[in-house]
Amino acid sequence: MTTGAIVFMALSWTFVLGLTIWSFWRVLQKQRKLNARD
Amino acid sequence: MPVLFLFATVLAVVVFFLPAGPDGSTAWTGLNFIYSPDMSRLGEPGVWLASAGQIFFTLSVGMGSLQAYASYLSTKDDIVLNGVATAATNETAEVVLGGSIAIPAAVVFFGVTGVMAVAQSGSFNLGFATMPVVFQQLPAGQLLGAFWLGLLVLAGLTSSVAMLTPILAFFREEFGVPRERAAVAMGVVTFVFGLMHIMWLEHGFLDEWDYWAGTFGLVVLAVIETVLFMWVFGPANAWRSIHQGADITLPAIFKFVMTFVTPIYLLVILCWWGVTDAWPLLRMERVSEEAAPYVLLSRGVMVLFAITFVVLIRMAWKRNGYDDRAGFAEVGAGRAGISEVSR
Repeated sequence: MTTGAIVFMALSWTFVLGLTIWSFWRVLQKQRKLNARD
Repeated sequence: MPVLFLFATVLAVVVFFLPAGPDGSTAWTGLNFIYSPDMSRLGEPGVWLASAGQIFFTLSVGMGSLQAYASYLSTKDDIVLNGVATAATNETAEVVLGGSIAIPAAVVFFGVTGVMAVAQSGSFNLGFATMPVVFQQLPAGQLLGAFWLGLLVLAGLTSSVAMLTPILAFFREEFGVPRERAAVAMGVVTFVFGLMHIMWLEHGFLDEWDYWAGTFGLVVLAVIETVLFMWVFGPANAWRSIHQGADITLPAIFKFVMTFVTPIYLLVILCWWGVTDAWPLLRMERVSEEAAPYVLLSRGVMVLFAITFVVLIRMAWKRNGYDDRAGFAEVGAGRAGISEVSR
């Protein structure tokens, strides 16, 4: 793989995986708060 | 959902460890092909239209599915966070998993030139025609092939339910048709017209639907939805509705993007496409003489569907006495509809 392709792939993977992990972490955190309130 | 991700992860791992193909290509050659874009193609409006259509299709924007999902939510539900999580998960499935399976595997066996030829011969050939051939050449190929097609069937079934739900709701709510009867009728119509797509696949019947309904149509509907939501409903109302019950706040720049950038960007793409690509496509200049009758029939069926639904919507409008001058009203509680049209 060329350096450009590796950088492009690393950036896109980091962005989508980072956003997915962060959003699911927030969803679970919210769920935990709602459960604790109940 | 977890099963889908598990299937895809197993396949991606297998693809990464494939031995080099006849021309020395490996999965890394495929990844290099995907992540080395040809920037000169950005000067073609068809590329922008295809990319907009692709992201709308995969996120179910412009086809009524999101409205169907939204009808199950209450105003207390956080659509900002759920929306971000849904879009991010979709992109992980497409970019990380999808991008590591079909094209890299096909590149190993057919080389980059072969893959491009297969992709140009039809939108669906890479997934449906190439992958089974690829699996035949793998250890435990039948098992992996069953995994792959199972993944496609599950994904297709769940998407179909989401896409047909708004039509089912339309017949139930506007014409009082019982759910079972509407579901059976839709199943029959889908089966009959689905057969046409299968029987005439090699004549480009499905590709026409994919282009005009799944790409062009989605972009047109997305423009209409954006203009209705941000301009007719109003940016302030739209922003308030989005954040009702939300824990996180979207950066304010997105309000500007949704109000101005999105509709203008999509309209520019459509106008650019209209000037350069529309006429040759409508005149079927790139369609072979043998495929022309099937392409015409495919377009005819699409026009028939469009006219039928416009007539049905008008009938429902009159039957139920909607007042199209009454405007929109915010729903205070209960269902999270943002636009209850006054009756």
